[in-house]
Amino acid sequence: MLFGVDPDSPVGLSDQIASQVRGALVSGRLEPGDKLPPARELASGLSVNMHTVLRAYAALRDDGLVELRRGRGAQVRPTLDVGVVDLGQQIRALVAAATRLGISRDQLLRRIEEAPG
Amino acid sequence: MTLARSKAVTGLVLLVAPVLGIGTHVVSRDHLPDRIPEPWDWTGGHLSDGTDPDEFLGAQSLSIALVTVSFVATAVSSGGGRSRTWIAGPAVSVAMSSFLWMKSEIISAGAPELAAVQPRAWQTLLTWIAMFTYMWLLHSVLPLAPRPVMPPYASQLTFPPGLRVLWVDSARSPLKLWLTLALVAAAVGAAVVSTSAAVAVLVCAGWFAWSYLVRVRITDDGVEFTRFVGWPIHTVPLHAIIRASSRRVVRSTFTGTIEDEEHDEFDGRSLIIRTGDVVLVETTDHLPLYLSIEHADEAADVINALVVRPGSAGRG
Repeated sequence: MLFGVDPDSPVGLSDQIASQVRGALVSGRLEPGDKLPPARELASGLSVNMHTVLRAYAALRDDGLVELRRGRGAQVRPTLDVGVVDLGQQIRALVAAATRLGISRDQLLRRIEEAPG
Repeated sequence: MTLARSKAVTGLVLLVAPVLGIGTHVVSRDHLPDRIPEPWDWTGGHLSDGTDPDEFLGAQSLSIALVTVSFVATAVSSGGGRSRTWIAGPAVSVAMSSFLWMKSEIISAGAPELAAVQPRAWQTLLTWIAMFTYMWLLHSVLPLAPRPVMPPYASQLTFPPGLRVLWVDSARSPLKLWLTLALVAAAVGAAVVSTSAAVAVLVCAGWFAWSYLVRVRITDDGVEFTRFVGWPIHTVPLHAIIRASSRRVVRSTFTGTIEDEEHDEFDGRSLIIRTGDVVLVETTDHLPLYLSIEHADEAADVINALVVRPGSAGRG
């Protein structure tokens, strides 16, 4: 799997890593049950602090995407629904676009509620 | 010299083998004892009390042919330059011939008892190590074989300057895993007959386990690869890489043969553990590197993108 981080980006390094894992899940390059690289290997390969990688993995775990087990590393949840991940990615993109356009979260929520379903 | 001409020369040399074999038979047959002691019988004489003269002479003839062919073929195919086969081909041949040389010594000494000749096995091993060291030194001082400089391949990926890149993947050989487990089970069974036989089977199991898995890591610094246990780690720096491409191993042999229009013979470094995808990394030291890996096309794309990235340490 391919990872890339840009130290000059306004997006945090751990967010960049987590975002790439989400992207790989949506595109099918990562599948339920796949193992993620060990945090130490990822950190040394990308020249980032290991805690940065662990923070990214923790965020993915909190999103319900990966399981972290002591001694076994990070693994994509075998029962993961990739459609949910895709939706999560789209929500993130929507929030980012709203922020760029100066739309507050309350306004965005109101528009979502008013949207035809 | 072209590959086709190298093969033709090698074929001619192969014709010498039967002559040597028949000659050895004619000269030696009447002078050999009925049974020839087997100094490296792993069972310590439980299963074998020696070999017969025909078997010995056949092996000796083959050994003579192998040594000749491997040296000539190596010299011809590498154009007189450096090649890894300087070590691989002749080393195997010399190992075999030195084993038979030892048996010749035993015969000329009057075919003594098995126990008396077993220490000679260690003399043979030391001879083999000395020959291997000699060939390794020869390999290291020979000039590189001339090859045309190739342009880098285009990549579908583009990495902006400053982006830190990491690509990781691995390849596994389920066959070798099963062989390892089977051999471990066989070693347990062999331990009932002979401890040394069990150790020999365990060594084989260890070899299969050793080559069961390949891990590859591509970073801004180059390509790193390692085996199952994660040691040793081999590194090819990015500045030494010209380009990379994906290939397919369609036939698994001792060296892992690549069969395609460009490389129908293996000549270089290799970590090929199964048939299927491999990534071929062409380097400035003229020794192509073949690595078994899943998603080899993606790996090649990443390497090519890194090589041509402006400001990278690569050749681009």
